[in-house]
Order: sequence, then C-alpha cells, then structure tokens
Amino acid sequence: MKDFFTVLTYTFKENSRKKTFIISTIITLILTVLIVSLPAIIKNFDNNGKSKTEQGTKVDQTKKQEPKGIVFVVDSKDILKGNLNKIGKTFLEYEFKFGTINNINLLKNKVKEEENSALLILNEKNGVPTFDYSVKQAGSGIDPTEISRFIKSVFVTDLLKVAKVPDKVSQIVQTDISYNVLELGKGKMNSYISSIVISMLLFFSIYFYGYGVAMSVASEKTSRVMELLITSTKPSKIILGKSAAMGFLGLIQLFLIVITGTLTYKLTFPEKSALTDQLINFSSFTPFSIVMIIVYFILGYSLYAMMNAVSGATVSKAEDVNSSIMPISMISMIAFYMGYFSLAVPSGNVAILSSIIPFSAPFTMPCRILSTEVPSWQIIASLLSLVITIVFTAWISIKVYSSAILHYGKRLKLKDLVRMSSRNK
Amino acid sequence: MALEVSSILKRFGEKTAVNNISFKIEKPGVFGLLGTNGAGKTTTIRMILGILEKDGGSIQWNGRPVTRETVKFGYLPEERGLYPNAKIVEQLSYFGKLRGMDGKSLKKVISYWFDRLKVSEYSNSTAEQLSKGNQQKIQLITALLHDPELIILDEPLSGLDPVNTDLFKSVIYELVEKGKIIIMSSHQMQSIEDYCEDLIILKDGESVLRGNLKEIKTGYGRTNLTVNCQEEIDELIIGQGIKLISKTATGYEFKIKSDEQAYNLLKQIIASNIRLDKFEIREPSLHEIFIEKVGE
Repeated sequence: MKDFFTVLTYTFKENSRKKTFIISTIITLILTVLIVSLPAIIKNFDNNGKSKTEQGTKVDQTKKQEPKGIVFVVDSKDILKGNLNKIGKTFLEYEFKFGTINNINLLKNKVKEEENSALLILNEKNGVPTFDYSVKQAGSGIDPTEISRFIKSVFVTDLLKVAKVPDKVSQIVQTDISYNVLELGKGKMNSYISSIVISMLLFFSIYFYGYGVAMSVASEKTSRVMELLITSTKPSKIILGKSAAMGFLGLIQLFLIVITGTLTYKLTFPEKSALTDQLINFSSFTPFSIVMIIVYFILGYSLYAMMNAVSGATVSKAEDVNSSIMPISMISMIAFYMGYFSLAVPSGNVAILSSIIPFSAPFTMPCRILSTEVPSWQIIASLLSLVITIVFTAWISIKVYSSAILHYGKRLKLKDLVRMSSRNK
Repeated sequence: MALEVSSILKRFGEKTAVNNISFKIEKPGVFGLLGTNGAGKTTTIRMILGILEKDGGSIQWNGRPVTRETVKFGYLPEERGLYPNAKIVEQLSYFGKLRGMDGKSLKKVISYWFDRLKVSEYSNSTAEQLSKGNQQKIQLITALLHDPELIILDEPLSGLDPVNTDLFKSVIYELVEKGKIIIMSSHQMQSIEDYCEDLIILKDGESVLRGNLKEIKTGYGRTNLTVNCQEEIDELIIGQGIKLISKTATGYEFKIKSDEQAYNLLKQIIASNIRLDKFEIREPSLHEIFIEKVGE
C-alpha cells in the first residue's frame, strides 16, 4: 500500500507541475467562462439589436414600409370576394395582387426569380376552399399554415353569416383556445442541456486523462525508467498508483471547471430570467445526482485508464501511443454517442441498455439521472456491471502490463497480449 | 550470502534466448557476465531480477527463490533509466521510497552519494540537462542508495571518460570491500579483468566458458608471445611452428605451443642484431580468450 501511495504522490506531483497540465487547465477554464457566459453575450447583443430596431421603427413610422415580397392571388372561385384588403391587413409585410388563370406561368416565373414572392391559387373542392401555394424555396414567403388559417377564417365567417349567426358569436367561435402546460417532473429541455454538458465533460475528462495514463506509461518505457520501477515494486502498484494519480488530476480539473462554470453563471446571470431558466436548470443537480456524477467519473475513468495503461505499455515509442489507443478511442466514441442519443428518450430501451453496458454507462447514466427518474434497479445494475468489468479489466491489465512493459521493438498485437496474459500466472 | 542460478531457460517464441545457464556466486566480489550483443546477458539479468518469467530452472538467494521480497537488488540498466524532465533529487527520493527508505535516511544517503560522485551541483537539474557521464553517475546512485545486497551493473563504464571510469572503479572496489555481491556485464574486457574473480561467457544464449578467471588463464598456459622490436621479424618465424595472431606498428602477437619456441625466436632476434624493446611470454588476456570463445 505504501508503494501505491508513493507512485500516486510522485505521478500526481510530476504531472500537476507539467506545463501541458497548467496550460490545458487555464484554456479549459477560459473556454468554460466563455461558453457559460455566451447566453448573456447573445442576450446583450439581442437587446442592443432590439433597441436599435425600436428606434428605427419610430423614425420610419412616417415613411411607407417597403414590402418584403409580393403575393399573387388567383381566385377563380371568388373565395376572397374580390377583396384583398383583409388579407393585406393580416400579413402587413407583404403586398397582395390579383392575377388571372391565363398568366399563371408568367406569375410562376416572377416567383421563381424573387426571394419572398409567392403565388396563391385558390380553388374549391366539395364546397370547401383549397389552395396551391408556390414559392421559390420551401420556407420562404408567408407560412402556408398561416394562410390556411386565414382562408378558413374567411370561409367560416361567410358560412356563419349565411346561417345568420351574430358577428359576436362568430368571433367567439373562431377564437383559439389558450392553454398552459405545467411541468411537474424534471424539465425535459432544461435537464437535456445540462445532461449534454455533463456528458461531454465526463467524456472529455475520462478520455483525456486515460490518454494521459497511456502517455505516462509509454514515456516511462521509452526512458527505460520502467526497468528500475519494476525492480523496486510490483507492476500492479505502478499501474494502480499511476492511474489513481491521473484520476485525481482529472477530478481536480473537473471540479475547477464546475466551480468556474457555476461562478460565471451566477455572475453573468445575477437575476432570474427566462433565458437562464431555459439553459441550465440547477434543480436537477441534487446531492444524489452530484454524487452519482462523481462516482461515474471515477468508475468510468478507472475502466478506461486500465485499458489505456496496457495500450501505453504495448508500444516502445511515445509517438505510437495514438495508434495503440485507437481501439479504446473507438469504443469510447461509440459509448459516448450511445449516451448522447439515449438522451433523446432517457427512459427508452436504448438508454437503459446503454446505461448498463459498462463502457457506455459512465456517459449515459449520470445524464439520465439528471433528466429523468431512473429506477433503482437500473442504477444498481449499471454500477455492478461497471465494477465487475473494472475488476476484470484491472486483473487482465496487471497481468499483461508486467510483460508488455519489458517488450521493446514492434508494437504488441492483441494476440500477443492474450498469449502474455495466459503465460503470466 | 550466495546466489545460485541453476539451468535457467528462456524462450521468446521459437527463439531460445537463454539455454541451460548455471553459475554460483558464494562470496563477495565481482562476477563477470560476458557475451556478445544478443548473447542473452540482459535476459539473464532480467530473470535474476525477477522481472522476466523464466521458462525453466531456478534462481535462489541464500537457498530461497529470488524475489523483490527476499533480496535487496541494486540495478544499473544498460540504457539510461531516468525521467528526462524531473529533478534529479526528486527522482532519487522516489526510487528510494519505493525501496522502503524513509525521508530522513534518504536525504543523508543522497547527500553522501552526491559528494562521493561529485554531482551535488546537479541535484536540482533535470536528467536531460546532464551529460551522459553524469547521467550514468545518477543511475549508479539510484542502484546503490538503498544499500542493496546484490548489485547488478549492466555496462556501468560505457560512456565514461577516464577520470570518471576511475571514480566508478573506486566505488566498485569499495562495494566489494563492504562484502557486496556484484554481477557486472561489460564489453570492456580490461575492466572486467581488473575486478572479476569469476565469470561466465555466453554465446547465443549458451555458456561457452565458466569459472575462476585465474584458473581459466592458468589452464590456457603461457601460450601468448608479445614481441616489440624495431625491424620486421616475419621471416624469422618461418618453420618455427609459431602462429602470427596480429602485427601492429610497434610489434607482433604470436601464439606459441611451448616456451621453447619463444626462446628459439629470441635467440634468432639477438643473432640478427635486431633491437628488441619487449619480449613477453604470457597467459592469454581475457580479451583474447573472449575472442577465441565467441568470435567466428
């Protein structure tokens, strides 16, 4: 145990003093501040923009506004009763002009050339109005559902008028019913964003610190320090001490990011506003979920660190680390995306499966805990599968590690590792 | 104190790196582990250190299998094994702690070795800032700071200038006086000859010569003749049964079968009025024995 702590302390001290660690921490913290304060910056720009527009509107009130586009209306069934005033008042930004069936092709050509112009051909089927709506590109011009709503209103008003229904009743009949939705559970949108942030943070910390372990092992092998280390202590203590030290560094960096993020959030959003509520809802960060995030970081990191340590031990040069950890990178990327996609339906089967598979559990379960009510059995199953896999991976890794670290020359392949692990009893 | 290596075997796939090697070291002193590159020296050392699993045989220290727990090793690897960017004093503390030393005794020991090997000024430097020779000194401190019982030095003198070579030699003599067992691997035969009483020579993973150096040499007999003279004597050896080994700017090296052959040659040199600088009948040097045993 003493040797484990000696390796841990030394690795921690050496790596925390490295320029790469200090610089990457500073850059990450600056990025955190920027990302967290981005909504405030956007809001600020938005406000400036709005006030400018408001001023502009006041100045331009006397002038007639240029229309956004022209809508040509072909109304052979006389649904609009030859009157474009009403539709013009509804869609103020557009100019409406009548066209005839004979010049439809000409009008279509005009619409093709102009961005916001449109051609509205009204018709009737089974006594109910229908229309064809031509635009240059889908999405340009007036939203057709708005036009549909307007025509329906005209049609219904006429029908009610014929039925001699009083105008007042006719208006009431056509009023949209207002409604409010109250979320009593965890807010889906709010927790969705915080889940993505946590998922990405976990992924990057686990990935980069795992990579750090591989690099550290490979550089000890390159500098031949490894030969001295393994004559001084057991390989298991080296691999575990080293992984734990890098894990602590990761936890510290994660902690610093969370603290900086929270402080920036509090400072840039001192007052409650709709925008801040939309972005991060702190109500999903309960003590339980915070503990779970830390637990999953530790377990996820341990799993990937063990595999990375062996990968680092299979190469003779530090430059080869990237290619040796490629399979682990692939697994972690797939696992991350499994977690990411399962966020869309946090209680779905994919999400449940993804949070029980040990490789994807660290990227899925904490986010699910933040965004939905996860049954206890799933949390227990997920933790159990992770712990069992970690113990198994650590057992294999320690066995392979002691042989692999003394191998110099060409990179060891999987079959060589299997052979070594079966020989190293 | 005794190290007994019995019939050890190591295979890497199809290749047998070490085949049935045995030797015993029973008293303090330097034991020479010699061989050409790839002869199996480092593999043997790694098996002794227990960092490489052997495929057969046994290695025992005082009758017990060798492990990190049963024997205190001091190991100086052939290739430098230092953290390039860490401070020297911190790396030494780290290795000392891993070998069970406490902070207080470590400080004292490190300070002693810094003075002894004249590297105190580099305590706060990083390994990559040091010259090859100074790195080797730090490496030697790493091997010795925990006062090991069994010391393994793999090419300890490579890269050292004559002054530092003498410094290392004096440290090695000191260790022998303190009763340490040292296994030394080197390609510098002269230095091995200076220290070693017993040795083993490996070729292609097998032992080709083993035993006490003096006895080996005596066994060979006085078979070598060195003649340094001012003129050429090639013609004088014709028909004498003397074999020319090498001819240099200063003289000749011959292989003889008896002292008689040498005396006959001496008589002829004197009769020919050739000025003679050196005439020595001697046992073969370790270098010559080595070449004979492992050379093709």
